[in-house]
Amino acid sequence: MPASPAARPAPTPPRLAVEGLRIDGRQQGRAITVVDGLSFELRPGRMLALVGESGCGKSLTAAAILGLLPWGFRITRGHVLLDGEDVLQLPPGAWRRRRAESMGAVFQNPLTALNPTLPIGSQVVEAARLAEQLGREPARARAQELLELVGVPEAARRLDDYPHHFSGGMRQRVAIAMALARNPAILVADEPTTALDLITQAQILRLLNRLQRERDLAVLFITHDLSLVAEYADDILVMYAGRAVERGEARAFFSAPLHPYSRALLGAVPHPAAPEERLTDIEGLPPAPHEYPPGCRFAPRCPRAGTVCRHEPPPPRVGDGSHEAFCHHPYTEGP
Amino acid sequence: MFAMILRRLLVSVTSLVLLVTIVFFMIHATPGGPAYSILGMHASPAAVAALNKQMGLSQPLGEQYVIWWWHLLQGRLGYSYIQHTPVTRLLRIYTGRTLLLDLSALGLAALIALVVGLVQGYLAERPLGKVIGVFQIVFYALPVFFVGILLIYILSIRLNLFPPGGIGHHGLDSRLRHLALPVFTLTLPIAAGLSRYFGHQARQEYRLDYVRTARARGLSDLRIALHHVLRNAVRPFVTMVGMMIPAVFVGDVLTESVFNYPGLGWLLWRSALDQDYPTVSAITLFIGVLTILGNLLADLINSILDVRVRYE
Repeated sequence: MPASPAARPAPTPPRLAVEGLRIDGRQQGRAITVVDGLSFELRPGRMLALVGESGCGKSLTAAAILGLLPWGFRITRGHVLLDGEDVLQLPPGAWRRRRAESMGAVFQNPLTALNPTLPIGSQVVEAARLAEQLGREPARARAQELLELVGVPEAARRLDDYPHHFSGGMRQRVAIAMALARNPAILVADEPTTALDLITQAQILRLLNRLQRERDLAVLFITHDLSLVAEYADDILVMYAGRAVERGEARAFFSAPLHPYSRALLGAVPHPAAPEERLTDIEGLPPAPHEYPPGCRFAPRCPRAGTVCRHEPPPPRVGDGSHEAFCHHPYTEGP
Repeated sequence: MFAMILRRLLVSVTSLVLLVTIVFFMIHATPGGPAYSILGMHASPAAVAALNKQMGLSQPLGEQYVIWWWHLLQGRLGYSYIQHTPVTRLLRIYTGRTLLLDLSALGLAALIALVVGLVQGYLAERPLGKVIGVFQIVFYALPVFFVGILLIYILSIRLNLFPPGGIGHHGLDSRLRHLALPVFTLTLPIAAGLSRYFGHQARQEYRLDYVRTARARGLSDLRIALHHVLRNAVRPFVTMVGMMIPAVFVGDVLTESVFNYPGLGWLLWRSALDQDYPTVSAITLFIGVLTILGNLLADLINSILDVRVRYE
């Protein structure tokens, strides 16, 4: 079939697609909706940064796609499609196995993410050993290989060391090795650098970026710090109070953020080039899930909010390319 | 390590000396005396005085105390006024039965506590976890004599399934059947206490990130419970089991008296009623030694279980 020269290559299908996700739970006896109508896609070789303040539902979103929602929280609407298959329809055991072979996860605190009473070598390959019934020697070889992959020096000598022999940054590397043990296509990283010092943060980010390129990983990177992901993220999704407020390709997003909340997030970080410039911080606190306002949830804190914002939920507004914001009064010019 | 053991030993010996001293003076401070138990409540004062003189009880208390220690250092625990037997011989006869009862109960309770605790930790805030918690409080609070008497009434008298007391002499089957109710009665409160403690421990472990990463890696709940949570939560539990030993013996005294089970607890109870000083002092000392040994054993097990080199 002759391809027309104008036809663009079909985009790679997403590894994971979340469609209209809604998570309900209970808090102090009240029914609450913590995530509502959230959609995104994770594609091979790309990093999606899910950004928002604490309590906006970003970690619960990660927990939902990892099947780790705490007791009392449930996915009540939407789909999670793993390579096109709706995993929420699977029986729990099958879903757990599916997840284990296709997703890896790294969390915030490397100091507690490893079992203190098991040597790291055996922990790193535990899941792979059980699933593939590896023998002792092949398992050790695999563990060494994984530790070398994430840059643990002298990996062969360190297999029998315990977590407390490692620094925080090294433990996070071990945790990443552990997440990659079964060669997943998707990596979920929930604030993986927040507990680390700045230099280690940068190293871990570079490592994740290298692994993403080498292994064609689809990465979901969750953070509260937009500036952290500016260099590496391919796509950005900003959440506020359980909903998406803006999403798009990173380049388009950073060149002209549309939503006042995104601008506020960017403004809340000092820029090294212009340190004397006054930081614009956001007045007030994000609302708790039981007191979400009608209309735009950011309206009470928004400098541009008008009457319509307080009464009507904002529609998607398209910026340039595949970049959109949910806002009645988006910014139209660059920052 | 050596200095640690030495320090522990020193503390242990000091507490033993204190324990025995307190018991010695307390039991002598109670009115009456073994002479009344031997001669009867209506014995003449002259006969009581004569018997006391013969038994060495007319000497000043301080002197008796020193003599008791002097004999102890020679390995002599004295002579029971009531049983007319050397106390060492009594200990030989009664100790085995008590160890059998207490260790069965403690072992069974520890096993139950591990299983229930892991389940409870896993269930955490869920309703079933709270139901388990309520049962733990109820079983912990039920007095041993009440449970014992209830079991005797239902299982022995009404249903005739188990003998109501004694130890049985004819073969293993009879011995086990005699052991069943006392062991169960004694196990119940210990299991309740231990499982509540361990359930709390396991719940805290379940909250930690390594459990979440284990789940994220797709490990099964059983694997996480046994290979990860248990491994981390078991060390404080071992210490706790060691610390339960005195509580087990308190329960043992009640259980043995309810079931008429001739062990050390029963002997202690009888001897205390009869003010049989040498027997009471000897059993107290003996139980003290056992408690300290139990705690040392718990520490030893812990130091074997501890893979971490202390580095802080």
